[in-house]
Amino acid sequence: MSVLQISGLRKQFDGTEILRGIDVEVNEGEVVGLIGSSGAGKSTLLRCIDFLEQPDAGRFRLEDYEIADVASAAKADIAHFRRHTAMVFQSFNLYKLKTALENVTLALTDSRKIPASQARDIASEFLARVGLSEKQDSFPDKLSGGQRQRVALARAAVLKPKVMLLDEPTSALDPENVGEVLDVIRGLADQGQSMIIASHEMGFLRQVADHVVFMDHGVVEEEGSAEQVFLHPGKERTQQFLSRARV
Amino acid sequence: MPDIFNPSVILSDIPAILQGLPVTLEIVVFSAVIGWIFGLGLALVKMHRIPVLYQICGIFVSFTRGTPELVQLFLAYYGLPVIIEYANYYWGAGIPVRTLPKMLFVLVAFTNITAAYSAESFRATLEGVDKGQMEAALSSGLSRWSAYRRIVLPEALVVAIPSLGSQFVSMLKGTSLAFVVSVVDMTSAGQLVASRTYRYLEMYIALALLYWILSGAFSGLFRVVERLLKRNERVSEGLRASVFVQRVRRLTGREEVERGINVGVTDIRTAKAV
Repeated sequence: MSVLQISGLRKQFDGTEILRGIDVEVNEGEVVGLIGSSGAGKSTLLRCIDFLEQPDAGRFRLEDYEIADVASAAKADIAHFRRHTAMVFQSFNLYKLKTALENVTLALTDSRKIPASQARDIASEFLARVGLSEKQDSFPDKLSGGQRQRVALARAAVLKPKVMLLDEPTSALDPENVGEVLDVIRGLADQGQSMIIASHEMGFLRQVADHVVFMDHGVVEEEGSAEQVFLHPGKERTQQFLSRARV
Repeated sequence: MPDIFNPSVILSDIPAILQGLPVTLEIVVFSAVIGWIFGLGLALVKMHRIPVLYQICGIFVSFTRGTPELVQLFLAYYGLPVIIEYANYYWGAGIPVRTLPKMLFVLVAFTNITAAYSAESFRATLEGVDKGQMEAALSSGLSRWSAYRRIVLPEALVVAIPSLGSQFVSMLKGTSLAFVVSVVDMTSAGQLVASRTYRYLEMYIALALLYWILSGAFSGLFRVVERLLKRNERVSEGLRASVFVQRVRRLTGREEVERGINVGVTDIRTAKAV
């Protein structure tokens, strides 16, 4: 069953078209890997889904909630999408003045209206899942990059989003921190969390992605199962990209 | 010895001058609190370029920052009654102009000044907050207002505190102008004393000392507030102690020192003592 359906998504910045009619679908429990060179529009696509960028055209459907024309999405539409999706950013974007635990708790108490003590219990359980129980009172600037991104993953996962949007979650990390973050993402995928991951970690995507979408210059150039796209790419442009990316 | 200058008068003047202290504090604290709220509003209007309001705020800030405080005090003193008279005439507001407390004009003038100066500090610090903070909050479902209130504003405030603090101190000194509209603040109180004793120099020395002490105290207070708000940079005593121990270890390289210090070092004071 499809959880998220994006069709005909367009977005331009200052007259330059970054997304030129994108169709993407995420099924229940599916991991969609988004690949493509920098500037292909992967980040913009994820940011449009969360309305951090205002899309110019397209149709979004999240389960049975549909926005027929995203360009004129109402406040309630945007709120619905933000409520049921959760974003993980390349640069973590943890709240600087809040501890790891408070970072994970905030949306629970503020937008989900869960009582503080209950929210703290839930948040601390999620921090335990990402292996950071001992760091729950640490502030972001006292954590390593990998730890920060794990907090960010807990902060997103705790909201039980229908789809999680991961925007190059390991690109800003030291190589030695990449593994721990990928492990957490793999764990979430194993638990059936639907997600879209924009990433340059081809080896990882090959293992965890059910479906891979190759984007180039604002269009979906090729898509299919991980095996199909990585091992038997149909388009020349995909082959070119993958050979350079050394899968 | 001729009795030209009498240092003992400096001390004896202080209690009388301090009678004006509550008024001085009232002016500066009231105008700071209300002025900062307005200043924050002005900053938001400026940042979001809200039409019409944006232009009005721009003129207000530029005018207020570009004119002497004394002139503004007089503008409020003579201008407000005129506005009220018109309001009474056209809308029958019925506000008694002649019995309005003089303090009101002082508060209006200083609130305006604080608002205009703090607006720039707020704007700069709000714009300085990483956009990712807002995006993270929005994407996890917080409303824009919630995101501002819980994430962006506290972060901006921490950065703004030093400049708000120095504005507060300069406003504290500025309150000495209140005497021109016969509000009895510290300066006025001092002048009243000196007009009886004719010891003007002694009184002004006492007054200067008091302002100096107050300025120092408030500067210190703002530093404390800043440190409290920068909660992510606060280091626990335990951690500071362990850092200190490491430093001692590095400097001495002596095993027994290390052993000695490791025994029961619970806080920085003990560590230093050891």
